[in-house]
Parts: sequence; structure tokens; C-alpha cells
Amino acid sequence: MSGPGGRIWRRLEAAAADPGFVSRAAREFPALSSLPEEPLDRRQALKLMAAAIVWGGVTGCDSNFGQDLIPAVRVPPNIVPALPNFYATAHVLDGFANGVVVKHSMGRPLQVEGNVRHPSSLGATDAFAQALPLDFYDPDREAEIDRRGRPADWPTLEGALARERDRLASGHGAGLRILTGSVTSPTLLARLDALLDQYPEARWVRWDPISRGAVAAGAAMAYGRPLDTVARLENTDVLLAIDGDLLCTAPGRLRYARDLAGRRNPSRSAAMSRIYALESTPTLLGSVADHRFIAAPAEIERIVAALAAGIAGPEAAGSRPPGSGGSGSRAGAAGLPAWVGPVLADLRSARDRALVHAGAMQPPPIHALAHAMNEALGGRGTTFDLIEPVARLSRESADTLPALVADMHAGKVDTLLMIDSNPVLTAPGVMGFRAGLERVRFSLALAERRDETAQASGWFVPLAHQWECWSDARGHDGTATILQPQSLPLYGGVSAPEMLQRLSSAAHIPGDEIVRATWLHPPNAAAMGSGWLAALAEGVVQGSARPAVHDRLRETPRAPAADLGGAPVAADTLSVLFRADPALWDGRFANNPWLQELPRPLTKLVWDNPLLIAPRLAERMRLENGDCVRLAVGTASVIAPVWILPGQSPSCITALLGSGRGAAGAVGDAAGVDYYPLTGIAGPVSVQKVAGRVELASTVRHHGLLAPPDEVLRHGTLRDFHADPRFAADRSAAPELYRTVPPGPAKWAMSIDLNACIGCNACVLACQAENNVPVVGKREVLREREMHWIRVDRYFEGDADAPTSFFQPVLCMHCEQAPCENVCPVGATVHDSEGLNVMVYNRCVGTRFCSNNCPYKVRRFNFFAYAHEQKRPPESWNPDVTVRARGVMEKCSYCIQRIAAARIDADRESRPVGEVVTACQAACPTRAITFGNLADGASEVAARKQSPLTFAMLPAQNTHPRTTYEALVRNPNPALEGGS
Amino acid sequence: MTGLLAGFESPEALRAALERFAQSEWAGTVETYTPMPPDDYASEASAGAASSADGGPVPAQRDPAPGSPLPLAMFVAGMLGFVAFFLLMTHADVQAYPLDIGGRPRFAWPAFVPIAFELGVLCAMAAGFFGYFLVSRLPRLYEPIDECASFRAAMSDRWFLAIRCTDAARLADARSLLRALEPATLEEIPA
Amino acid sequence: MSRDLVPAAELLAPRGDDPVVHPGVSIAAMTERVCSIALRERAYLWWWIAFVPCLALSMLLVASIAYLFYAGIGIWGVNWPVMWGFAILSYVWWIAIASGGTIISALFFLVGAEWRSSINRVAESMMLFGAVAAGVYPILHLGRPWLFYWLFFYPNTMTLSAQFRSPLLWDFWALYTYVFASILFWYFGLIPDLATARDRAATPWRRRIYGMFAAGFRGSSAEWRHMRAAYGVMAAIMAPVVVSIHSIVGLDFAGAATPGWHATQFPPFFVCGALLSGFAIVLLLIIPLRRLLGLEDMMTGRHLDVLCRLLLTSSLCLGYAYLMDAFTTYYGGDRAERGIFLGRVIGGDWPVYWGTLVLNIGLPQLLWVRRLRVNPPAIVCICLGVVVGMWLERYEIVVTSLERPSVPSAWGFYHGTLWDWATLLGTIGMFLAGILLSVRFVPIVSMHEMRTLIAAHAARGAASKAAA
Repeated sequence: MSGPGGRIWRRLEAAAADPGFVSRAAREFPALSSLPEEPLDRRQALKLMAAAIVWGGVTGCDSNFGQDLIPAVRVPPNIVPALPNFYATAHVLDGFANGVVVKHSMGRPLQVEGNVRHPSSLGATDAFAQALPLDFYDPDREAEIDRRGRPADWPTLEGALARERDRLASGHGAGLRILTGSVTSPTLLARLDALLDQYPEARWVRWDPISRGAVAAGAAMAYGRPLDTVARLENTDVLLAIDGDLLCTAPGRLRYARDLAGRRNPSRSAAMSRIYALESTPTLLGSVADHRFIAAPAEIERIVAALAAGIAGPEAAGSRPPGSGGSGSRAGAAGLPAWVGPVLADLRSARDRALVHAGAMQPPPIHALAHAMNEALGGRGTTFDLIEPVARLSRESADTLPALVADMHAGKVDTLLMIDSNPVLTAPGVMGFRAGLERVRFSLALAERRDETAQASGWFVPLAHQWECWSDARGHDGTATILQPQSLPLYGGVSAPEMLQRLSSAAHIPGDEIVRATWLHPPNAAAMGSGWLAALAEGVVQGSARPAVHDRLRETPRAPAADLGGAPVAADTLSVLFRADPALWDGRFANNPWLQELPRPLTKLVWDNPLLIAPRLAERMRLENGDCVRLAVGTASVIAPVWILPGQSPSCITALLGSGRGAAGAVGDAAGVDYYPLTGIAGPVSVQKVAGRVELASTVRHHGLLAPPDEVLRHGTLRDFHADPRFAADRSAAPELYRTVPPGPAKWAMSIDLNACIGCNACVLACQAENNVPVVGKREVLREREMHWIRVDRYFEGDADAPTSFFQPVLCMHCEQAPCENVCPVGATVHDSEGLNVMVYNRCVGTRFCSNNCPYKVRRFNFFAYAHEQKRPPESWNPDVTVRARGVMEKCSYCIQRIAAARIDADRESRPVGEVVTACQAACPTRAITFGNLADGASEVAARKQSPLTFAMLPAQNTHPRTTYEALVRNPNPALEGGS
Repeated sequence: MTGLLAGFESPEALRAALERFAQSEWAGTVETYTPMPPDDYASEASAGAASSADGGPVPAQRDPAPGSPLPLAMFVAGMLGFVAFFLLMTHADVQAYPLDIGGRPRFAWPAFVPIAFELGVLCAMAAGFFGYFLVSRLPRLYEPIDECASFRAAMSDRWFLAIRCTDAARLADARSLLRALEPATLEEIPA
Repeated sequence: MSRDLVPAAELLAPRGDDPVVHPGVSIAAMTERVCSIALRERAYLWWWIAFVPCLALSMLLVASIAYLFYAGIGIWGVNWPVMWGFAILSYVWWIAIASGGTIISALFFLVGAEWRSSINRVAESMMLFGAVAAGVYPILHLGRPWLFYWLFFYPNTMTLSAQFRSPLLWDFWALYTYVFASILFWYFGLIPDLATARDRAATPWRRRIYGMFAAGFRGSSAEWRHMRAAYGVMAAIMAPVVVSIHSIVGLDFAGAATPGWHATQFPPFFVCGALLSGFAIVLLLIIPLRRLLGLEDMMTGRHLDVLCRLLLTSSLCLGYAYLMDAFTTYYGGDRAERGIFLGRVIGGDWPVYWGTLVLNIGLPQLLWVRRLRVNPPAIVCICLGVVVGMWLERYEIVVTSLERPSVPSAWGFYHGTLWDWATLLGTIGMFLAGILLSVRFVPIVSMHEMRTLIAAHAARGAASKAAA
């Protein structure tokens, strides 16, 4: 540790030791003293963040420390004031990398955009990556080395580690356990190998709360060894997704979303693909599918077996599955849903252009059957490829978490090193990890925050944020990226490889040396064809993707059907599905206010994770949204509110993991319920209504199913489209009283393709990060005051048990005849010559008439001083965008700051203004959003506006919006019309 | 002594007195102070008589009171206010700071009318109010006539007739003239 | 105070065919009576009992405004999409009340209605304090109230001006024109009575203060002539002004594209509402006052009867407006409009809609009964109902329209917070305190007009006697 980072660190120790400072801070932040008692509400939480920031000493403007901060004497190289720099790196989640490019302004990493060169990203990002900046600046990361909860320092730790090394060396590492999540990082794996070679008795255990173990196991069943499947959705005509996670949690989800969307707009793609989704709880893939089949988890296994029998022949499906030999017609006879037949026929007719995909949450046999079907369909090489597993598996299959915990209880574990893993929170409650941990003599948690595990273990060492250290990771297809630090450690901290290295030897090898060592020596040196610097600059190591392997299916598959949980479970028995929270993942993002307040794609809930139940179940139990139930699995039980989710199977309840944490930090501690205690138990599930209600904050307030009105969202089927490509076009051209079109060099406009939108929310967070959109907290959302500039409207249509769902991103339409402008008494919102409906914050007095008069309701109002209450570190705001004050209206500006930048460039080079990419457009994985200059006929937006599907929202208002949509076209199977 | 102040019990008495003075050489030099608009009761009475079933006698004709400049002044002020502010708005939107507001024409004259109207009204009201104090020379908080004890009743239930003259001899004639009318009170207006 | 002038029995049973002023009332007695109210040494007990709570409520208003400025309008119930709430609807409500007063004092002056003379001072006070109560809202309602002056156009270095296309700006100007004009009109008609008070005041202090405001008015023929000329024109101006202000308030809604507001009938519809609530409040004021101040022989059964007839008439006009509202919604065939209307009639806010109908249209129909028109308790009940009903009507227009915008995903709900209610109650307290103060210190009956009236009646009486 060197440089300013180190200085800050040392100064902090000094500051923390200085009683004067402590009392000063206490005076400034009385909330600190009341921290342990009452649950935090938002304002208090933000005060605490502020307190921590001041402690962190990163608020350059705090009066207490202003005089201590030292301005840069020598401006770092290649930093031009007011111009951003971009550095490639990757966002690593559960080991898998999505290439990103981080935007720096004045040396501060501020925003994330996708890396077009990275195969898992192709320039797109997900909400998690977009939220990284706030994660990076999160003051709760600030932490010192702890020993049993008391502050310690490096020398002490050094000493302790030295003793451990001697002890381990003598015992060949007996009793040493290393616990990590999935690892794809060649460097970390190299360190692990080195360590395990050095201490042969040591064991490496890997544990992911959101486990993909079933995928590997399933592949092992089918092919004899674990393999990863890379889907090629651009070649897939017919996709059958079984509880599909291709769009939400699977590695490479961004790439898959792009490929999928590429086949969904009939006005652009030659042959529109068809998607069948078979699932128990709604997924993003199911929401965009042409047919969504809802089945109880138990049924799924039978149905898949039948499908497999129908495609790959009975032997593939093993011992006599129902309807074996099953052509569709006979499948129906065997108590299977009527749709099975037509779907089978469709898959078979598509042959090698069909793909069957099983989600990671399905048991291994299902995956085995999926592999069998795919091989039978012959899509190998076309619709999918098999590659060596990207994430390394444990050396011994016995090295699992249960085994580890058992050893801990048995006292066999002497030294436990937990790297970026939070087992105390995430390990199934029944295992009793915490109890076991107390029997471990030397336990060390390397974590970003002082989380549950850190507090329970002997040593806590702050882990460097992935923007603070050298590292590397692989994408879903194996492509490697070298992560370069975006900043010196804000709060100090070490990277995982460094930590392992310290455990193996006393020598100090800085992180970059360790990473270089991995890549400049065999076996990887060869892969570094394009050279180290090029790899850093491009953000990918060229040609490091895993080649396809040519394993064949095992000749005699172990009959998977036999493994399908034996006797078919009665359909009415309840089961619980544990899923990653769409915004908080396994809970690691719980302290990120952006993600906490991100409306979940299907429920639009924020700051909470109620149990998702089916309408019919709610009816049966007389439950309403927010009613509390006691959900018991075996011996464990929790009390949690419920939320009625159309499309949920009545025979299962979905619990989203990751909320209700006790040690997430000031922001995340209050929110939600912790369902981990229920995981990993095979007992009977029971749910009963208990007293009490929880006010749940959802950004959609209308109740029940509400079909999107025709003038808001238009949709049809492929048949409609073939009958009349312009079926959605607007035919009610109203007469004009007057019509003035803004003159000017450019005509900025946007086109949103509803066929591509998967409701993933990446645009929402991208906009929030780019435009300094404040977080308001649960209470204010309950009062209907959320601030997102772009919202993804979600509609359900049809039967509540099996609805069709629609997503529609809504942002300012920048109407040419803007109703908001006429009614503003002070002219605070006016039109510019390029057709932008500009909002002049300084001029706004807050009459709010503009919002009343906006037909699309895209304007947001600062009822309180939200931005100032949020107390983010000042340097984490985007310097190009005004931070709005209290009492001011705000709304989407088409990222006017980016337009201005483009205009300046154009002026400098005296050329017409060129391409501008808005934040939402840049983030969108499916390129649903296109923005550009209509005046330039060659621009993509101009082309897209020509699409026959283009329609304007609320055309009768005669507002002539510059934002238009492309109608949603679905491609249902004619044999199933009305059957989905 | 600068004049005489005679108070009468009823408007009719005052009217009788006025008619006497109208024929005398004092015509036009007398001033009345009454607790209600001086000629109202006459007109009201006639109206009432006319409207009364039995059609009573219509009182004697009197010369109409000279008019007031205020109505005209208020009208002019109102019109000026309207035009001035209409032009101001036109200038602001068309010339000084033209903006594209919702794609509407810059010279949005219908939208200018309401405010111009209101401000015209404002000007008219102000003109009438302040003009009143101008033409009737108010506020005038003191006048010698206030010294007369009986004058306190002027705004309650006395009808006064005042003669202003410094010539003692002529005042004497006036005094006798007034005595003949048997006023309730007769006082000298001090200097 | 002298109550022996008129037989009591006659007063206690007001009748529709009472004379506007009882024959027994002489100019001297009337002057004496009215002045004795304003010039009392110490106020009545009932006055204190009424005034103290009103003062307390006014303090509440001050407090809630202070907190509002400190914390921001987030303390109110307004939200997304219901950006307007209590502030705007109470503002419209108050403006309507004030307008009713102006109509009585100005319009009926022009048509020379005799019954106006004795109650126009009450009506004008109502107009004045109603306008003031309304006047506080437009500024409070701003997100950044300290910048309210940006709505005026004033010379500034950036040559910026207000945005004249906004109905809200028209409203802003109309309101403050109206407040200013009301003050002038009220004070102007007050000058002769202040002179009377000056001449009759006992203590030198009061004489000075009344004298100051009377501005040396002595009742000379010229003073009277100009006053009647100017007052006549002022009245002729106030009548259209009051129509304009409420039409413009209507345009705040009709001028918007918002479903539920976008109706051309709003301006006249709002004026009808203004008449209704105005007459109701005047009745609510004069019924206790005539009793407490012993003015039954000047505010007679005839006044009650006339005002009740007017109340009934305006209620019928309003009924027509409601009918048209429903019809245009149906006939227009716009999905959102229909949705909003259905939401009002059978949705969560149905009590508001039906309450409006019952209180504003149903209840006043009782006034078809002749006896009820002169029955003070009945009148008070009906008027209270109307006042509440008018507030509900504004709630229905402002809130329920915004709760269901065209885009279903933006639907929301609204309810006022404690601070909303505190502000509303505060303005009510301020209004009543103002009325009470004017009762205490200002001649509550326009004496000079009453003199004219009494003289006319006397002359009429004499004429008829002569004829007999």
C-alpha cells in the first residue's frame, strides 16, 4: 500500500485514535450513538452514511477535514480537466466477468459502460454493474483490520500470519480450509494451486448461495464430466426454456439477451424466433416468451421427462416416463398438459435450430434431459456449444460446505480463510456455520464490509474493491479480462491473491506483480498474443475464449428419470423456491441504495422482498399484499409479508434471498426479510396467516390486472404483422390548429423497440448514475414520490394465473407540442432548437402544473431536498449534471450533457454533430433503445422510425413526441393459439 | 368670523332653504353638508312615489348637479392599462426574449388578453380611488368649520347649509335670511 | 342598545314579505345603533368567545406556514401523480366565497336592489377576507415560495419575463388584482361611515384614528357627487372582475390537457359555484349577526328570503353544470375521461362525488318551501351543507382527476396530511377573525346607504299618506 491511499489510511488511524475527533464526530452525528437501538429509517441511514464518509475522510468539502486534504501537486498523467478518461476492466459477479469500461472524470471513477469487445457484454451492462460506483464509494466499506471486534493493525496481522505459516508448514497444511465463491480468475486459481501444493493437507471449499452446481452435475450426468453450455440464441429458431435464467442470472446473460432480441423484431430480423417458457415462478425469459407454461415444480420434472421421451426417445428419458414414446398426441393422453404435443412437434420440426435450456435452479436430471434433447435435436455447434467449465471445481468432490461445517464442528478445522464469502449469512441455517466457526482457532474473513461473517470470525481484513486491485476473471465463454485498479484503495484493503500469497510466504508481492506473473509466464503467456498493454486497453485477452469440446453423450445414460425425486409429488403440496433477488443478488448489494430502490422487474417493489404467492393461493388463504404469514420449512420458520404475483404457480412460494441482513451497513440493514434460515432443508412446507401487515412500497399502485390501453402500448401477433405490417401504426391523425416544428441543425429523437425490452432495469440504473437521480427511501416511495427519470412500466393481461406480461420503458417523450411548456408560468421548461424539451432547474419555482399537464407523467418533483439528504460523497456525483434542489421539477433530458459534449466536439472539428448515445441506450443489453439525430437520414434512429411497427404513445394528445415505440409482436404457435 | 352654518332637522327643510337662497343674491355661494348624498332622497322619493300604487305628487324639478370627471378618468386609465400591458407582453415574447413554448406561435395574443384585462382593471380602480381624493381635495383633516359644535352631527342626522363670507354687513343679511328659515342650529364659522 | 323601537314579536318571526327596513327605524336611530356597535367601549362577551378560538387558529396558520417554509411542501400530501392538493382546492374554495360577496355588493348595487343596502358591508367584508385567505395559497403552494416574484414581470438583467400562456399566471394576476381591487372597493364605500364614526367617537384616540381613515370627509355636495360617480363605476368594474377571476380559476383546469379538467364549461361552471358558496356564507354571517347585534329590523325576513331564492337559483345552475359534466364525459368518449368519471361515481372516492351532489344540489331544494326560506336554523343547516359541499366539489375536481392519468402505470392516490388540514383550518380562523374585527371596529351596516333607503321609505310613506 502506497501513495495517497496509504496516506489516507494512516491518517485515519490517527484520526480514529484522537478522542477529540471522536467527540467532534459524535457531536456532528448524534445518530451514531443511537445506532444499535431503533431500526434505521432512511434519513437516519443517510446521516450515518454521512458520518462514515467524514470518517473516511473522502468528503473533500467537510469543514472538519478540509484543511487536512492535500491537493495534487503534480496532476496525474493523461488527465485533462473536464474531459473524461475511460479504462477497461470487468465487473465480476460470482466469479464470472462482464467486460466494462469505467468512466473517470478528473481521475475519479464515476460511471460504468459495457465493453464492446467483451463477448459477455458486447457493450451492455446490467443493473449490478451500473450500481458499482455507489458500491465503490460506499462509506460502510471503510473498516480497519479487526481482531475479535477490536481494531488491530497490519504488523499484528503479519505476526499472526507468520505463526500460522510456521504451524501450517509443520503440519503440511492440516486443518487449513479456504472458502471462496466460484472462481474463474486464473491468478487466484494459480495462487490457490500454489497454496494447495505448498500445503497438501489443506482443502479449498467453494460455496455460492446462488449455486450453479446443478448445471455441472447435470452435464456430468449427460457427458460423464462437467461441461459448460454456451447457447447460440442468434441461431435458435425455437427455444424451450425450463425455468430459464438466460436473461437474469446465467453467466453471459447480457450476451444471451442481445442474441435473443436480435431475433424478436419481425420488421428487422428475417425469421422471428419462438420462445416457450416452462416455469413455476415468473422469470424475465418467461415474461417475454411467446408461450409461458406454468407448472408446479413437481410437474416440471414429469413434463420434461415426457418431452425428452418425445424427442430423444424413451431410453433417454430413462425408465418409462409418463407418455413414453410420446408423440404429442399420446403425451396428452397421459395426464400431461395439452400443449406438450404441439411444442414437441414444433421442436422436432425445428431440428437443429431448436434449443432446450434448463435453468440453474433445476435439479441435475433435468439438465441431463435437456442435454439429451439438444443432442437429439442436433443443434450442437449451431444452437449451442460445449466448453470446458469456466469456473474451477473443487479438487475433491467431497470439499463441500456441509463437509466443511461438519469438520468445523468436529474440530478438524484449525485455520479457516474466508475470501469474499459470507457463509454466516448465506449458509443454510441448519448447518450451524456460526456455531462451527467458534470452534475454529484461527478464522480470517476477507470481506469488503464488516459483514455477518466478518463480525463472527477471529480476524477481519478489508478486501479491496474490484476497482482497487489487480485481478482477472473469465466471461461465460472463458474469455479472460485483466482487471486493472481504477483507483488507489479508498479505505485500504488487500486483494484475494495478495491475501493468499501472504498466507504462503512472508514476501510482499504487490497485486500487479502477481497478476503479471500469471499472464507473462506459461501456460498463459501464449494467450497473451496481443500483449499485456493491449489486453489492458481492450479489456479482453484476445483468443482466451474456451474452445468447444467434442464430448459425446454417454452411451448408456444413467436413467435420469429415476433420479427425479422418485414418486411424483402431489401437485397441491407447497414448495418454496429460493431465488436471487433481481437487485440484491445473494445480498452482497444490500447496502447499495440504488439497487435497494430499483423497482424489481415484475413486482415493481423496492426496499423489500415479500414472499411471492400465486393469486389463487392468496384467494384460498384470504391474503392481500402485505399480509404477514409464517412460512415454515421443516423446523425453521420466518414471518414475512406476501405479495401476489400473477403467473406464479399456486403450488409454490418464491422467496428472494439477500434482504433482511443484520450487518449489511447503514442502508441495507433495515430492509426486507432474511430467508436463508429456510434454505437447505428438505422438510415439509407450511404457510399460515399471522397477524400484522407490512406496508410494501411498489412503484405501480393500480390494483389487479390491467391490460395496457391500446393508445399506450400496442401489440399483436406475427400473423397480424404478416396480414398488415402497419397494424400498430397510428391512423388517428388529428387535425392541427397550428404546427411549428423546431428548426435547428439536429432533431434528437428516440425509438424504443418493445420487442427487445426484457424489463431488466439496466437503463433505470444507468440513468440514475448518469443524471444524479436521488434515492428517496421506502417511506417516500410509499408516498408515491420516487424519482427515476426512466421507468419500466409493467402490465399484465389476461388470466391472473397465467397472464401475458408487457414491459414498456417510459421516459420524457420530448413532445414537439409539449403540453408541459404552455402551463409553466415562469418558462422554466421550454423547447430548444434541436427539439429537446429542456428543464431549466434554476428557473423552476415549483408550481408542478407541468407534471399535471404531462399526459405521460414522466416528470418528477423534489418534494424534499432528496439529493442533499442522500449525503453521497460529493466526488461520487456526476460533475456534468446539476444536482437538483428542493422544490424543483426534473425529468429526462435525453442526457443533454452528452449531447452538449458531442456538439462541442463537432464544433471543434467544424463538422455536423455526430452520434450521441444516452446512458440508458448504452446500458441496454438488447439495444431496445435507439437515440440519435433524425435530421441525419443515415442515423440508426431515423431507420428505426421507418419501421412499420412504430407508434406514438397517446397519439390523440397531438403532442408529436420525439420518443416513439415499436409495437410488440409475439410469435405464438398456431397450434396453441389462445392456449398459452 | 368667516361664515355661517345652519343646521336643519330634515332634508326637506334643507331643500326649502336652498330654494330660498337660489332666488337670493347668494345663489351658488352656499355649500351643503349632508349625512347622505344630497339629492338622493329627492330622486328616491319620486321613484318611490311613482312606484307607489296611488301615484303621489312628483316633487319640484331641481337643476341637475354638475357631473364628475372620474368616470371618464377611470375609463381612460383602464384602456391605457390594457393596451400598455398587452404591448409589454407582446414585446417580451416576440422581441425581447422569444422562446419556443410548446411549439405555439410567439405572438399568442389570446393568451395575453386575460392579464391585460386584469391590469386594465387595476389601473381603472386605482385611477378612480386616487382620482377621487384629487378632485375632492382630500384628505383635508382640518377646516375652520370643524370648530362649530353643531357640525359634529353633519355625518349623522343634520342637514347643514354653510355660507362663507368675510363681509360682516352681508353676513348680517344672510343671518336674517337664515333666521327666517328657522334652522335647528345657527352658528358662526370661526376664522 | 335601544331595542324598543320595534315590537319584538315582529322580529322574532321573520317573514318573506317583511319590508327591507322596518318603518319604525329612523335615520337617527339607525345611526345611533350602528355606531354604538363599532364605538363600544369594550367588546361583547360573545365577541371574545368567538374571537379567541379564531385567533388561535390564525396562529396555527402561522405555525404551519413557518414549518412549510422550513421543511418544504413534502410535508403535504401531494405526490406523483397528484401534484396539486389542498392548497389549490382550498384556494379555489376561498375565491368562490369572496366572489359571492362581490356579486352582492357590486352587481346588486348596479341593479339597484334595495335589500342590498343593509348587508353589503357584511358581504364586502366577506369578499375582503375571503380574498385574503385565498391570497396566501398561491405562494405557499410553490415548491420554492421565496421565488414567487418571478411570476411578476419586472425588469431584470436577463430580460426574462413570465410565461404569459400559462393559465396559472393569468390566475396569479387575476387574484392579486382582485385582492387589491377588493380592498379599494371596500374602503371607498366605507369612507362616509368612518366620517360618521369620527364625529361620534367618544375618545380622542378613536376620533384620531377614524379621522385619519375618513380622510376629512365632511359630506359636502362635491364630495358626495364624486363619490357616487366613482363608486358607481367601481361597482361596474367589480362585477366583471369577479366573473373574470373565477373564470380564470376555471381556466387553470380547463386550460390543461388533463383528463377530468379539460372541459370548456369550467369557467361558467366555476362562477355558478362561486355564487352558491357566496350566498351561503353571507347567510351564515348575517343570521347570527342580525340576532347578536339586534339588527333584525334592518336585516329582515325579506333579506333572508331573497338570499335563499338566490341560493336556490345558483344551486340549480350548478346542477346543470354537473349534468353537462357527466354528459360531455360520456359524449366525448375519451377512455381516460370516462375512467375518471367512473372512478368518481363508483370508485374509491365515491363519497366525495355523491356528497357534492347531495349537499350542493339536493339540500338547497328544501328552499322551495316558503317557510324554510325565513327559518334561520334551517337556513344555517342548508348553508353549512353547501359550504362543505363546495369544498368537496373542488376536492373531486382537483384530486380525483389527477389520481387516474391517461397512463395506467402512473395511477396513484392522495390524502391530505395533518399539515394540509392545519393550513385549511388556519385560513378559516383567519377569515373569521377578520370578520369579527370588522364587526368590532367598522360600522357593519353601510349607514349612508341606509339613510338614503330610510329617507326614501319615509318619503314614500308620506306620499302614500298624502294620497290617502
